[in-house]
Amino acid sequence: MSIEFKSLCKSFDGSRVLEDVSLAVEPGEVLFVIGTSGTGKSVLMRHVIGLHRPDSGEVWVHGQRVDLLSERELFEIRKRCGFVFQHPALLDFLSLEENVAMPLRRRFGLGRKDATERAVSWLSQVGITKDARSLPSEVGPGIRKRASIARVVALGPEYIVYDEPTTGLDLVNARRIDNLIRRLATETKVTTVVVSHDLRSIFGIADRVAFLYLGRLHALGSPEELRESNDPILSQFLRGRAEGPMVL
Amino acid sequence: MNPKQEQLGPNHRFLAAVGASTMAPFWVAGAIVLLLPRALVGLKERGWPAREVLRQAYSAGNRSVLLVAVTLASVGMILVYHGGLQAQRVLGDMSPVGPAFIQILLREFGPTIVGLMVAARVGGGIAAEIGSMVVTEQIDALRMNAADPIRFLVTPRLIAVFLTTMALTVFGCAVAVASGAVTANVLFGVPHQSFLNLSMTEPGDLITGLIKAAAYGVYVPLAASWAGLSAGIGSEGVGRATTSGVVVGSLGIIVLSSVIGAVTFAFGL
Ligand SMILES: Nc1ncnc2c1ncn2[C@@H]1O[C@H](COP(=O)(O)OP(=O)(O)OP(=O)(O)O)[C@@H](O)[C@H]1O
Ligand SMILES: [Mg+2]
Repeated sequence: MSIEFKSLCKSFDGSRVLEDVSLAVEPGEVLFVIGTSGTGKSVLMRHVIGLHRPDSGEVWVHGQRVDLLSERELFEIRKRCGFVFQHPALLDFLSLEENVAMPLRRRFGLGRKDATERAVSWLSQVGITKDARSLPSEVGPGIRKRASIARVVALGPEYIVYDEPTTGLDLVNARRIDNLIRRLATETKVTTVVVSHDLRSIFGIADRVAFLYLGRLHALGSPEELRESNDPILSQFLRGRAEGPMVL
Repeated sequence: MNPKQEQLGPNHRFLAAVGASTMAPFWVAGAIVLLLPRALVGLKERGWPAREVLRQAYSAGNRSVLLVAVTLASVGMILVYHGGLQAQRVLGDMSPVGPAFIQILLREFGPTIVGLMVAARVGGGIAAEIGSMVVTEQIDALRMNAADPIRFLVTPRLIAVFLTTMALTVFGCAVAVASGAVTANVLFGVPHQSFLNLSMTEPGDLITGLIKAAAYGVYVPLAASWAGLSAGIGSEGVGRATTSGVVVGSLGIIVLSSVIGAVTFAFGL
């Protein structure tokens, strides 16, 4: 059981964002989704947890068709599937520590003290120690992003979607996050999807890579296969060349 | 344009568009009204965010107290100035100026003008705040944890703005009466004792004023929250939500004021 999109189409106000996307994530793998800005990577991922509904097509997670579930029924899926949003999405009236602890208390009924202890330990795993008590507005975007990752992984989900987890992080912290993602996938068999622009992460930890282009799945394969592919659009994207056949 | 509209000819499409924009205010009003029970359910639940209510009430009061003071002081001045001129010319008797002013202030102007100020200042702020939480996916993050965004965000703001609006209405009316009394005294030589006179104010006026203030105190936070929750994407989405929070809030107050006026009149208040 895993995550699967079947012929998914999605438009907003008549403009097509995703066109017939079919993609299956293997259990326990780390699948990267790459593509230029605005091709619909985030929109595709938000379907996994029922934050968008497809116009047509199906979304399967853990053996259930999530596009048919009600908000209440979706909660079971959302318990299993963590989601790191592209924006850090921390609640700005809670400290980083409380932001991580709050879902722990809600989900597992932990007391304040236990939840805070766990929150502190997860924050330290993403490299946050002295800022744990600060409000999100008092720290930089990199720290907010890492705290939002801690908030999700602390809950121990079976599936995790990360929307650009290393964007805006310094190199050291970006590799630290990569290691965390890889370790969770390898040690606890978390099925992982990562939306990323970070070539080092892609070639460092991906099992497979899906390349979205103009709302369609353009290529899918291992990082090596993609690197060696002579598809002109894919190679322009991976080499980051301004000149080439890509339409933006 | 939805697919159904695309199948229509140009004339019908025009009519459909006109029809849709005529119906829009009703949909909006419906959506805002529907928020109320959902926000009230939040009151029953455990772990109720008292700290958040205090924070919101403090910021709402802080944001509007100066605005309310300045506006109501000048409203008091202007009304008394014009009322005084009329009384001087027509009646030659200044004694009804104070009582008449106080009556209409408590029944109409006090609550409604305070309501409009709160809608602009506090309502705009709430729409912007919630709108930016939508745009930065904070609302989605709440939904991920099965935390109801309405209970988390709307309930505390509803209570806070309700209490603040009531308090500001009392405060605003006091300011207007004080500035009116000073104006009447300085410009027309009306003594304070004869100005500060409740002979024309009946319980019905006070009740009507209170009903209005209470209705605005409930309506403004709901309208602003609705506007924020309906924000689109990007910083543009936040801007539009803010504007629509202020517009929907203020328009609603004008409508509510007439409706409550008519209803209380029908009940002989
Ligand atoms: N809620 C929405 N309403 C309307 N349009 C939307 C909405 N969400 C996304 N879009 C549009 O869908 C398109 C794809 O957006 P998406 O956020 O998925 O891009 P992305 O691939 O994640 O890009 P980036 O790398 O910049 O994050 C964009 O044109 C965006 O404007
Ligand atoms: Mg994105």
